[in-house]
Amino acid sequence: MRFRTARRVAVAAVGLAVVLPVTACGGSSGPAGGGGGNDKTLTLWHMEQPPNRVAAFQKVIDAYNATNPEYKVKAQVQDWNQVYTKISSAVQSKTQPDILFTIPDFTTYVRPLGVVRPVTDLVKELDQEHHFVEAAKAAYHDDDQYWAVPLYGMVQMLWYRKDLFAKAGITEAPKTWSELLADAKKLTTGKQHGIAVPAGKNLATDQVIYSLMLTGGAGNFFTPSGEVDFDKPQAVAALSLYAELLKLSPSDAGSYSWGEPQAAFNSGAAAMAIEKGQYLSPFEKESGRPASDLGCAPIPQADSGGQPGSIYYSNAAMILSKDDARAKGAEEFLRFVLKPENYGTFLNAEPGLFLPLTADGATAPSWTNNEVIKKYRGCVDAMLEQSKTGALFGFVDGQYIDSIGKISGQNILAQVVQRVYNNGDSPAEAIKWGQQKMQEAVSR
Amino acid sequence: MSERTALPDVRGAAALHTRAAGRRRAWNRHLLGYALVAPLVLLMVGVIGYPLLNTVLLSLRDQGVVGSSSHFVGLANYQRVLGDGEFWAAIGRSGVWLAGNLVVQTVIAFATALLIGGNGRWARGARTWTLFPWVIPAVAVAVIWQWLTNSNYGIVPKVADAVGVHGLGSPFGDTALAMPALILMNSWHWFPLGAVVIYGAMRTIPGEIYEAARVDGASAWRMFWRITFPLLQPVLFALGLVGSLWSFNIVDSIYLVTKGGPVNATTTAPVFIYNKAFNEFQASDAAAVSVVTIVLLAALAFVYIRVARPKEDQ
Amino acid sequence: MTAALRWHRVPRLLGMAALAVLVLGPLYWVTMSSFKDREEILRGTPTLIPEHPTLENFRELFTATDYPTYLTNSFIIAILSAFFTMLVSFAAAYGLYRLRIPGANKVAGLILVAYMIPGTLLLVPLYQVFATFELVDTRNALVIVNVAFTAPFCTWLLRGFFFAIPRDIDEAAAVDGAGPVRMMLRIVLPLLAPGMSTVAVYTFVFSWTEFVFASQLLISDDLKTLPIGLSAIMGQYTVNWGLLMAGTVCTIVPAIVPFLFAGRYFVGGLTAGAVK
Repeated sequence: MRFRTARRVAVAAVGLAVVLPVTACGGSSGPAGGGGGNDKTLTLWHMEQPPNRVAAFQKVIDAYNATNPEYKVKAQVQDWNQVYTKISSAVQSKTQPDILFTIPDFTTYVRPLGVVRPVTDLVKELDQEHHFVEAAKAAYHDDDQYWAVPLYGMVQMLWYRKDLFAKAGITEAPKTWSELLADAKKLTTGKQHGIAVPAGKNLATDQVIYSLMLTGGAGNFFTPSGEVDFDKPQAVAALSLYAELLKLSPSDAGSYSWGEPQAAFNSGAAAMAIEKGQYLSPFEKESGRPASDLGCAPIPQADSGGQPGSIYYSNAAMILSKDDARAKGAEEFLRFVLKPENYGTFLNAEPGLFLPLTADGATAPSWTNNEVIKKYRGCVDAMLEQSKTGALFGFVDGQYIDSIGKISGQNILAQVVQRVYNNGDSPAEAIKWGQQKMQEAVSR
Repeated sequence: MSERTALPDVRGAAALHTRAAGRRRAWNRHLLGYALVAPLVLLMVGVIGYPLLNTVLLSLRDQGVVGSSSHFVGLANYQRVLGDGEFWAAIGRSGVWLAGNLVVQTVIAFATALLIGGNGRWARGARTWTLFPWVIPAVAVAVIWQWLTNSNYGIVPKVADAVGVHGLGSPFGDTALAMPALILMNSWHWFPLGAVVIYGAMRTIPGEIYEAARVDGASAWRMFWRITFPLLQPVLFALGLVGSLWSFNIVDSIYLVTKGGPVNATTTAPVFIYNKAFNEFQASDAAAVSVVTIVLLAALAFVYIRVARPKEDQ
Repeated sequence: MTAALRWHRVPRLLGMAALAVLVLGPLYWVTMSSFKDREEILRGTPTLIPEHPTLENFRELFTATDYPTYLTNSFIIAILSAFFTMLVSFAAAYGLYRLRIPGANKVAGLILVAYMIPGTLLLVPLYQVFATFELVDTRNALVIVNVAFTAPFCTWLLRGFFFAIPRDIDEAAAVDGAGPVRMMLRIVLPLLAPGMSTVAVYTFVFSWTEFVFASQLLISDDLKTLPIGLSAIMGQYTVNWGLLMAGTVCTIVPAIVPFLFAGRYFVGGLTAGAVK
């Protein structure tokens, strides 16, 4: 008899041990987590994780929520590395967010999941009111529809240390590739390197080599009919230049991403770098030098057949809401962000890096009154100017290549660089390999 | 269960009763046992079994982006995978990764176990701080080592400079050095666990054995090889088996640092799978690779158990 | 006599020094750097001790990031995971090795197979399973995952401990009239204290450092754990090195706490389990 009760007790205890984790303590946000939970709250996913960016975005969101809209907005910060799996999973379980920040290739990844709503009317309306930069919209225009609302842009410049230039007797920033190479060689003495460019298998390398391909005339990887056309003499030339620049960079450039070249630049170990506007804000604090030592110039062009240009990243927001009412609420929020009086707060999450992509945004006091923007007004204007010739592979000249995500996801450009830098392939061989890899990626 | 009976002619019936009661008790005991094991089995089935089944089914389809629609294609993915040179290269690299980690971690763990086995203050303190690398998340380990070895501000090249080795920089961007560097980094992260296991095992060896050997005039080295090592066989066997399996499937430590590069020098099988699924957007291919990898691992484990199992029964 | 002693000691002393440098060196460097300002961290000629020690990085960590939240979440999840793993693995080990139900070896084999599976492809199906039970974006989901990944090993670990406890205790207790549950909880469990400490510490550390599944299953900012917070500091395009160093230090230090409590048992515990 005792056995039986003992057995019952045992089974009950064990059953409890299984049930407890599932129901009891531990706290949770419950099903509201992924979106669509709370009736009047829109979830917004963005991938700008650094604390200062999170805080700035939250400020704009709080300001919006304070206007008592029908749908309030709640931000949930995600990691770029994880968001690809997360959004797939979320869509499958119907818990996707209402608003999802994006970059052009990410949009090509999300659209096949079937939940992205076209925002053509909204974009047209905002364009009329604020006048978007063309490159900003183009990257989201496909099938006669706009699939995301552009919010902030990023463009690359050639950054250089004016103090180190002065010491080497160079008075002007290089304008052509041969000048760039010559200056970099001159500046490479002792422990100092002329330039620091990345060669790691990452997006940073993709972006820098692409800017040079653009200014070398090889920015378009596709024929008008969408076939891969990467193997061009201009691409080989750009890669050769890059290989030369790598020789003048610190010896472990093969592991570099965004942080390392910037650290080298700020500590004076490198005199030049090609990157986006993130160099403005930390310069004085990290280098210990005055702001006047930071110089910027448009990216040097190929000696012949070159064109002005730089990689341009238009960051936007997609709307994934399940029903129309929520979608309207999301649109309200996006309208709010782009209003000149709020836009500056939004952009100054990372002053200098996040650039306005509307005409009235560029003159909005909320943006221009920022410390960093004021201090580096010259460079900021130069970046806005460069935005006009900005482009992104897969979206050049009105193109829209659906499978571009597979090329950027695998960092094929970075791999091409690594084949030359690490493997010792010739630039021509590496470009051929890149062509083949891109074709494979696009065909499946 | 003995049951005393007074009368012989009742013994038979009593014996029957005992056996029945015994059987019932055994059955009840089994029920309790099954109930106790149930949570573990349930968890494993739910958290590991179901996704595994899902993976196998996925490998028979043609899913591209994870979660998108797909069709049944049978064994086509397997045909492609088994003929893919890059897949076998990844398996080869996994072998190197496995062997490298096993050797380095075992050596360092053993050396550490010997060092922390004293009674002094240093040894007692060491038994705690030796564990620190294990407690650090892989994210931090990756950051720390990349930062320490950077040619501009890293302390390691500066120290090397001071002792005459010039021009060092981060090894993670060099095709030849990346894999060894990652193995060392990963070993730094995991050796404390092995060290502690071996240390504990060594403590169970009675001191008299060493005393007797010393009286017989054995050197420290000989004592190690003739006494310590053989007595630790069971521990080393177990550690080797489980440790290898864990090592094999490590993705984050490698991916966070090199993403499998440069030029695939550090693309081991799990990294290959991750790339295929999330960077090349070929979920079904990745699933097929996973299945093949699991089969290979199982075969390897089987061989290992057959060959290396110590004489005492496991 | 003294000469012989000194010779013996040299390799040992060298080893001790090497170990200290290898383990404590990097940690010392990271800690020192967390007290440096951003310019000093990047300097070409490194300084062993900060020139102008500053608490700025830590201040930023505690005010600008959600560090306290991350810390709390990490603790809660780690402690819950440790607790439930102790429960599940003790129960399973008792059933397998004490009550000797048939199939013990098969379960051991199953445990091995479980650890052969590359975790990558578990991510999405697992997310779906949790979504069905409305467990996505809850701490509970992570606890379940952590327990599922550590319990098998811990069950196997406890095996050795069970063999060390003589069977006569079972018999004696049965004669005294103790039922199996009582025997399990009142008699065997206390004898297993070192083993249970081991299980607890192992699971705690596993949960503390777990990143991939935490990142996948948690969505809301107020549930995130320390590894996620640390990785968030390394944003796209730029790195705040000072903040990163401070974040690293503050991820390591709290994890040392359980060792202060159960460290002794842990070191002794891992052994007995694996030996048998």
